[in-house]
Amino acid sequence: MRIIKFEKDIKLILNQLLLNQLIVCVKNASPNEACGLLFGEVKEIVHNGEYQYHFRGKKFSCIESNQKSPVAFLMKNLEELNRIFQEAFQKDNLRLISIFHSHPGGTYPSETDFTNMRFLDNCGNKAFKNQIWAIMNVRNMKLNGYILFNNEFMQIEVKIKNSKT
Amino acid sequence: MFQELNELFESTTIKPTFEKVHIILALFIFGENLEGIGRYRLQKELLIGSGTSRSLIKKLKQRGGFITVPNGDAKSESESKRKGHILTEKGLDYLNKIKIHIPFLIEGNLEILKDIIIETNKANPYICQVKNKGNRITNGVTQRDAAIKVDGIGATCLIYNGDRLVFPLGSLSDDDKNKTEINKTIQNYFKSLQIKNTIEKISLEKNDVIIIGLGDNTKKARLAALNAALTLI
Ligand SMILES: [Zn+2]
Repeated sequence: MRIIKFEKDIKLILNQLLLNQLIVCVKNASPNEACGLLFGEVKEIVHNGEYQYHFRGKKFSCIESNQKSPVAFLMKNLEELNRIFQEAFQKDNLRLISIFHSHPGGTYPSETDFTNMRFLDNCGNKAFKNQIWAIMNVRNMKLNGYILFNNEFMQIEVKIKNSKT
Repeated sequence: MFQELNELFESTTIKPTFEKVHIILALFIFGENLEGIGRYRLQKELLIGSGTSRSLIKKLKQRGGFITVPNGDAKSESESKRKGHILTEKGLDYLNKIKIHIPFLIEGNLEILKDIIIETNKANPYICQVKNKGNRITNGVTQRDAAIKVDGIGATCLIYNGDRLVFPLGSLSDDDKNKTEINKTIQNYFKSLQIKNTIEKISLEKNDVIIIGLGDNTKKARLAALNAALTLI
């Protein structure tokens, strides 16, 4: 297990309603892993002279599948990922900010997840670069986020807001 | 081989959030506690929530017929609750069927194993044997992933080649290359492992796999080892 640093200046911000949708997605997929995509916007914010990146989730789409590991399936079918992303962009003008999936007992990325993060970053499609990999632990529905940023794996902060915005 | 378990996941209302690894481990634990084990203890052993533990017991009892309350005629509900549940004959048969593939699951000795595991810092090892599945391991990533997904730190697989235990061929990262040879102490350690609650020693045959699951506590390590094992069956 590699040790990765925690980067508090990159945040994934979701409201409670969106988080509930993630939880429902996980419960419906059980006992298989859940998978979904978060769409929203990325804002660069200067906070006390430091740059922060806020990935704000606006919309979640749960990918229903009977695959044991749908995220692995998705990585092998990037055209499908591209199609979903294009649709969200045209319809709501939102960008893809996070690839979501669940683990049965933890939130730490597997070796395959790290490989896929790197693969997606290098696949040539700019829209897939710097995605936050959000992983939910089925045991307690805790959500953590990870990103490959400047060629370094980092854990980022996940913030849940109560308001709708 | 676990088709029989599929119906434990069927639900008309809310789907259960336990996994196959929890069912199999629960059966192992019931098998080690023949006098009975209660829901609360099971919850602690499997690292699951109380609701999940309740639904697991309910499914094992009602759908699976694997467990029952001892002396169905216990005088009061509190008495039966105190005793917990025990394996039925069907449950014991099924556990024995599992044990043909996974004969044992026991805590490992970190002092002895530290030479072959990379992350010894705070890691607790748990060992299990998988019969005749060495050929299914490519580089061990699938098994390590399975361990991490249940909150373990990792898993190391060794294959018995008929003479001694070796690392899977595809697994040799730079870290491992220096230690491709597994030393004699470790070889002997595995060959003399004793199966819990018995005087039986393990029997290693060609193509058997030994999995060392690692976790920051022994319960996580046990789940890690077993979940890694299940990728091979
Ligand atoms: Zn994963």
